[in-house]
Amino acid sequence: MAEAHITKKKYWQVFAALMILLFLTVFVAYMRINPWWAIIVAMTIATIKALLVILYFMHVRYNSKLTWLFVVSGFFWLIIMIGITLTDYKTRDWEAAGYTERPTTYSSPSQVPASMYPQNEKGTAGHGDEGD
Amino acid sequence: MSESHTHSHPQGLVHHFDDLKQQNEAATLGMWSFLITEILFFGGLITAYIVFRGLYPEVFLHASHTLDWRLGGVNTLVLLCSSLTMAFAVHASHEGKRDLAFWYLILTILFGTVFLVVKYFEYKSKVDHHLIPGTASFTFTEGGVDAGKAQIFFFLYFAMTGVHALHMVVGVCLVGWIARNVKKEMYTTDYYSPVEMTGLYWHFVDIVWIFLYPLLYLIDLTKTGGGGDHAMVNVKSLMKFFG
Repeated sequence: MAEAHITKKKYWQVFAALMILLFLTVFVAYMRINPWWAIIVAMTIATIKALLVILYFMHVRYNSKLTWLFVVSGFFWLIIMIGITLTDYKTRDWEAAGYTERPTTYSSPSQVPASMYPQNEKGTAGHGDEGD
Repeated sequence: MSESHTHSHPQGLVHHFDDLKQQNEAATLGMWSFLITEILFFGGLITAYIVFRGLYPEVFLHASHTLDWRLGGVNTLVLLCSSLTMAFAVHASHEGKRDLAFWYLILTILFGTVFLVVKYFEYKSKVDHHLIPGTASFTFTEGGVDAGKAQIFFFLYFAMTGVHALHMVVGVCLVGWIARNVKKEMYTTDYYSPVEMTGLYWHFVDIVWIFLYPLLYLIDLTKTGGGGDHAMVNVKSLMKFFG
């Protein structure tokens, strides 16, 4: 049906590309490059590998426009979920809020130790919103 | 069957579709709808991993060194091979080569089983080193980091790889069922949607691992060269088992 256009040779080519990318991602991990670049390179390679699998092994390249729309929308929602979550975590100014370290998760406010609250002018711990 | 159905249908076509092409397109869309929910399901776990790795980078650095990139690499290799054989199985079904399709499906099952066996030894190593989060015996002292925060890493590791392994088990069963149907000559060159849809599921599970491997095993290697003591023991126990 939809995969009528794909030859066995094409599958082998895609497989060879996946093998090269797997070798590359392990190699880059061992190169001890800048850790931030390591993440970006590793995730870029993973995305290319996923694209190859989706387009050729899963035949999406040869499917209808409607299938394309479904697939793209799925990953679009994924980007929204990760993106919007990170805009919160990455833009919160922890130090300005008075935390000496980033807070761990507590099941209720009463469990948060006093040392985690902002210090007032007298140097004693107190809730930031209590004022004088 | 009612008597009004005396006219002939192509094998596999159900009555509410005009033809097999339409039926196949509907099946493809339905399968992708399911896979989108799977994307968001695994995506939620990956989001949690990104957030906590961002909060405690030191802890995640030391904790991830208990994983062996070589075993993860072998499993990536095995899964990519299984995806190739699965694609070949669909291709053979399309060409009506039933025996070939059957053996490609068996190969896919074998690769999937190898993945699960390697995963078992990885998990066993974590149990042996008291790295099961939430248990009283949990101990983690590498790099002098907070063991409580290290539990978050191991929780996410077991949640992500555990749910993935569960998908692998389901996948192996599905492929086995499809192989049985192929053997029983239930599919034709015009109707083999079940083979195709099972293939979509199998490739999706492969894609999840394509992201889990660098996230869990690789991205922190860069700082030390990786493969800690735990990892070495892990490879030795594996070699002992097979040799």
